[in-house]
Amino acid sequence: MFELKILLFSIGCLTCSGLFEDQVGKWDWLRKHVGPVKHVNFGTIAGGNIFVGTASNVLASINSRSGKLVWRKILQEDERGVIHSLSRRGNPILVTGSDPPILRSFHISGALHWETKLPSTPPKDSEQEHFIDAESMTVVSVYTSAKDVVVSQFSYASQETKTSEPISAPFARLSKCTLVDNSIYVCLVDQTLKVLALSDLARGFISSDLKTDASALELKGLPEGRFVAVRSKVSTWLYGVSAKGAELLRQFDDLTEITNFKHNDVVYQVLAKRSESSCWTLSVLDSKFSEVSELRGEICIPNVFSGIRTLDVMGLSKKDAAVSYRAVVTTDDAGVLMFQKEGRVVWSREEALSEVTNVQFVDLPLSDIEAHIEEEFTEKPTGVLSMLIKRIYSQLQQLATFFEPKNPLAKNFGLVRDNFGFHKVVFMATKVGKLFLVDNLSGDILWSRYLPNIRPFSNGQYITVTQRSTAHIPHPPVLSIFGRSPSGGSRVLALNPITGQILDDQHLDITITQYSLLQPNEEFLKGVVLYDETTRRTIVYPAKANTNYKHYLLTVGKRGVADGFLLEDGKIDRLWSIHLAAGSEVEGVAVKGQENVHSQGRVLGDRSVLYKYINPNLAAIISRSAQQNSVFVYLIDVVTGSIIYQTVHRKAKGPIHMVHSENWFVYSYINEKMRRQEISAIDLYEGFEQPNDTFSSFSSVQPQVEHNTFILPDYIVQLKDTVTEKGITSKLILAANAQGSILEIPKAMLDPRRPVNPTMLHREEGLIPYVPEILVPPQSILNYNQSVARVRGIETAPSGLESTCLVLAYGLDLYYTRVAPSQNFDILKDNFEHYFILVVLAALVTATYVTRALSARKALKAAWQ
Amino acid sequence: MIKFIAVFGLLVSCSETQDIRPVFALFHSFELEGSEPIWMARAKVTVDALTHNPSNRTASKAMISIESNQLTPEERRKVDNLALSGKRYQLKAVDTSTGHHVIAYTYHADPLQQTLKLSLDPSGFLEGVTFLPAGREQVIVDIMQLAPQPETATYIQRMDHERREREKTQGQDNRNFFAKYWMYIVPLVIFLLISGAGNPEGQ
Amino acid sequence: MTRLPHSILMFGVLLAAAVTSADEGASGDAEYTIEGKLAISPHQDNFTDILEATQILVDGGQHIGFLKDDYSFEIRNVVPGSYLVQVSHPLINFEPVRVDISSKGAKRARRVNNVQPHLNNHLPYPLKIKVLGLHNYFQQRETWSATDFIFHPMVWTMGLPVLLIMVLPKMMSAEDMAQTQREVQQMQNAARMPAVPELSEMMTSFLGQRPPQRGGASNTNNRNRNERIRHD
Repeated sequence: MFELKILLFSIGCLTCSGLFEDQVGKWDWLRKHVGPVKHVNFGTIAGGNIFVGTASNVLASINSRSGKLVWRKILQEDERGVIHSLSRRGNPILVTGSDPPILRSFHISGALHWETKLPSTPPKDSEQEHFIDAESMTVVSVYTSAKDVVVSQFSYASQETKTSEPISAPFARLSKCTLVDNSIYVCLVDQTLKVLALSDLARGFISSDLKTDASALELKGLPEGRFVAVRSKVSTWLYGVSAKGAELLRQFDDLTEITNFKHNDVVYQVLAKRSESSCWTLSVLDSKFSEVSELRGEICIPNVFSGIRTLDVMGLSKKDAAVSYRAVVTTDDAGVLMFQKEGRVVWSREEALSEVTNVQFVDLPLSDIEAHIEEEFTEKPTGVLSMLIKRIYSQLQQLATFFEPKNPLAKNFGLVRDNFGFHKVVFMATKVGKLFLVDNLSGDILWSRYLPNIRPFSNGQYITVTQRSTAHIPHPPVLSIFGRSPSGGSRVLALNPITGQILDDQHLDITITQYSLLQPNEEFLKGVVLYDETTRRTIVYPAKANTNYKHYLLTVGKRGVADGFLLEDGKIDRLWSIHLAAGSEVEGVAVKGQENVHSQGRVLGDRSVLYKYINPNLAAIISRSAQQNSVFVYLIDVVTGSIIYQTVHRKAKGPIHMVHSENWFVYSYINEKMRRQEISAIDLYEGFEQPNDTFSSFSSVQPQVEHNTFILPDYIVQLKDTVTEKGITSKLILAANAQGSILEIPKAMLDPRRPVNPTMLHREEGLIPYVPEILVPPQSILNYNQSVARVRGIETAPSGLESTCLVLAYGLDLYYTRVAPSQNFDILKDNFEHYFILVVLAALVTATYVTRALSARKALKAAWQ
Repeated sequence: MIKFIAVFGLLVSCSETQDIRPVFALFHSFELEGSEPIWMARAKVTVDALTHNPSNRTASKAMISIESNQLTPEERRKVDNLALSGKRYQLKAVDTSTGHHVIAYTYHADPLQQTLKLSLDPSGFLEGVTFLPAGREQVIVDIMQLAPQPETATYIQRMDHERREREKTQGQDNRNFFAKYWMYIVPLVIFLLISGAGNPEGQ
Repeated sequence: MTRLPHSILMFGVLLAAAVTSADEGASGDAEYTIEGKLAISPHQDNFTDILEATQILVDGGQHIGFLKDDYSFEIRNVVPGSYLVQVSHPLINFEPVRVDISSKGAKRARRVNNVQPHLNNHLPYPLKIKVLGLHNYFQQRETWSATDFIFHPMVWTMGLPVLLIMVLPKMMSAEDMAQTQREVQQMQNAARMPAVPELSEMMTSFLGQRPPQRGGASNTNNRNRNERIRHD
């Protein structure tokens, strides 16, 4: 079996493009994130590591001096991994999941200390909330159902549970309730505070009237001690709660936030007031509610972040035993910052990048000199002499700038295209509404912008459209992003991706479902036609764009009905309609991107050509039926509605991933019966006669279909193909697996024509013999040991060189690299020994001259004899 | 006006034995009322038997019977005018068991001559109808077939076979030294001989 | 970035299939726990981040487990079925195991075989699965060393004669040099094969009479010249 593995290894290495160890880090980078922070644990020692629990179900340890990630534990992505509660101090102890909730305790080193299930069973139809108190080592679970509240206290030191009887509380679900000090449960109902002491459950809720008739009140439980704050727009009331009820302690006006911290057994209240636009002043009150003037501080958020969302304060002792504090602040755009009392930012983390939804590679503009040279191709020809003069002038200018000292402070310094087109910028849009432009070579953020009124559509993504590329100087490049407006309808933002300047910001009255690019106008700006499925309307953006268009549209409805429409100059006409298999629901639709296909066919072993069926109007639809446990695959021509090919996999289930390109379609699914991941490839060929130059859906033949399936011994999380400018380089299918590695699978391995019993003809063609399992050797793992957690998408873009493709994988982490599927056939290898060759050449030249002189001298001597 | 035509249709593929006999009603439209097409009955297609032929996945004969309606000369004229006026000929196929319909269209000059392909899912549910260039049959039925599974059986057989063969013949590279290096020794010997011949001769 | 060590460390995965008491899950199915241990002795721990960075993935992340200090792990709330347990670490390659839990709670572990999934390649209880070592992510640079040159047969066949030609003349005195030169010339004359007739001679003899005399004359000229040289 091992020899077989070696054989397969060598076959698989036919086009393997493994890295050398000294190339690590030269052109790739990895950014690790944790997700938007929800819970903070300040750890055991001041200046040590802090622990955070995030909305992405990740528990992480962060160095409190530098903000760097020390370790992280990534839980399940669904509701079984949701972190309900995290202890506030000491070892991180957390409650995750809900069915059943699991209580885990970790060492500060990252090892699991212990793990146990919460023994209480939730009553039917109840919502759960869990609270941990590390000091008393108890977890309080509160289950609220429509009429009552059940409280369960679990002490994990003694493993004892105490569950209460249902306590009547019809208000509990509708109003805001919280638990303070792990012993008092407080609810705000209209204008009363209802207080329940866990030590005395029999008493039930004790009501205390709030002496105010302000409306829109909010309840906030403070983290330390038995305090709650009731807040209205104008005022904040601080109440102390106990078994006897609630007692008003103080009233404050114009507070933006209130919290507290405990240090040396004294509880300090922290009041935050907004001072300037992005600054808060913090005043600290001691246990007698008088202000401690030394602890007054001010925190100002840097410009790259938006407003403060939550504030957590931890007390610490300075060297002279004075009290001080540190504040961990989360912002609306998922940023995390730590401030010292004096207002200095100790560190900050940009966690919006953990939720990237859309990625677009943007070409950089040419430098001014090169643009000047390129102008000669776009301008009208003005005679040979003037062109010559112009060329010489530009080259003299180039020479001059070469010797000039460069000014690093100039705007967009360095943002010009390099020789091979490797340097691009990556535009990213994130779920929280923040846009980023990242330099792909260094990974630095060039600019970022937070948009409070644009959010992804219901499928979790925005629509990003390049309306004008950077190739048309002096017109600025335009990239438009369409998203859902929180107030209904859609919103479009057009901006210059290189500088970040906003060119247009509009509200559109439709809910955008699909879009299509129009022809460019005389300023090279492409309009976009937007389609709304619910109202069957189209609008064109920008409104004055070229309105003569003819587009074919495919919509697949939820009940398995696929319709084809013709969108022509504002009119919508339904052309065809088909039904997917009975009882099935659509899982995904894949169309081909814009790319060049270099060769028209494959050369077979007997030198005949098998022509590819390249139908640009082909869409692949995969649907799934849960009852029949089947996966249905269709290849449909969008213009005519004909089902070119259909097939079914029995006992198969998702997750299903697809790649549709050139004349092939590759998809992956899980075979339930054999419990393995399978990947299937469909190739379409026209036959042995050369087809017409222009393809027409109305007059095309039914293609010859080659279809075969392979086994992949791993779990695929995402699939994408590499793409190059001219399509000459062979393609790699990049498969991200559950462990965070990105596998490179050459398309030649996923060839359905691979023969089971190869003949001479097959060998002549170069087909790899069929082996059911595709083994990917570790050299073909694109990101070697830089695992990318939870890959959500992979974006590939062509570079300036034909052999190289740029790859960005995004998910919880961001990883960028470049890959050369057919090795770097068009540039010298990167360790080409220039100096060695020069030295050898020089040595040989000198040796030649020396020996010539020597032999001349010897001949002379011989002649004299 | 109803002409009964019994036609043997070519079944493209079949995967399971079917006991159902799906009946499809075909309607066509060559004029519009406003923007909605007016549907006229064109034919009724009954698929009488879908037989299972496991050995030959490609073809199975089956009975398809078609009852089609004759067109009046005026309707015929309207159909012929469609291509001239750039309008499309639309076809609707209705599955009489469930009542759902599928729609297709063509711009062909003579749409009534084109072959129709009815695509069915494995249970006989109508999925779509396609226009194909005119062929021998009027109606073709294409039933979804199973996708190919990874062929592990032949692979396992071959592996076992190779393993057994390898155990039988254990070849080693134990040829002697001369056999391995004769390529280098022979030129050396020749050179020595020549130089040796030259030297004694010279003396 | 951690550098890969030069030696391949041996790791083993010890999987203990233990039947724990069945717990009722929300769906009514009994839920069991998968337990296991990595067989790493403390002095072998060349990696400092095994406890931090290792994740146990069941079925590609359906269930997730973490390591305790003694390198053991537990995965709870697993309903009966067949699962693929993968221990994932960026640098170390652990062998995946298939764990089947029957509806009565009996657990067994077997080797992963995707081509023949029903093969029962049992991993014994308590189990020790064969190690897979470190992930070998990088290709080796082709290096050259001096030994490649010295021991190559081609070097001996071609380089040695060149050396001889260069070295021998230096070792001989001038007379020996002259003598050797003469010998070499003689060898060349002798080596010129007289048996093969010159093509031009053949053609002229075939076509006419005069050439043989000329050829003879030239031959005698040559012979005289050779004799003259010999007498020098």
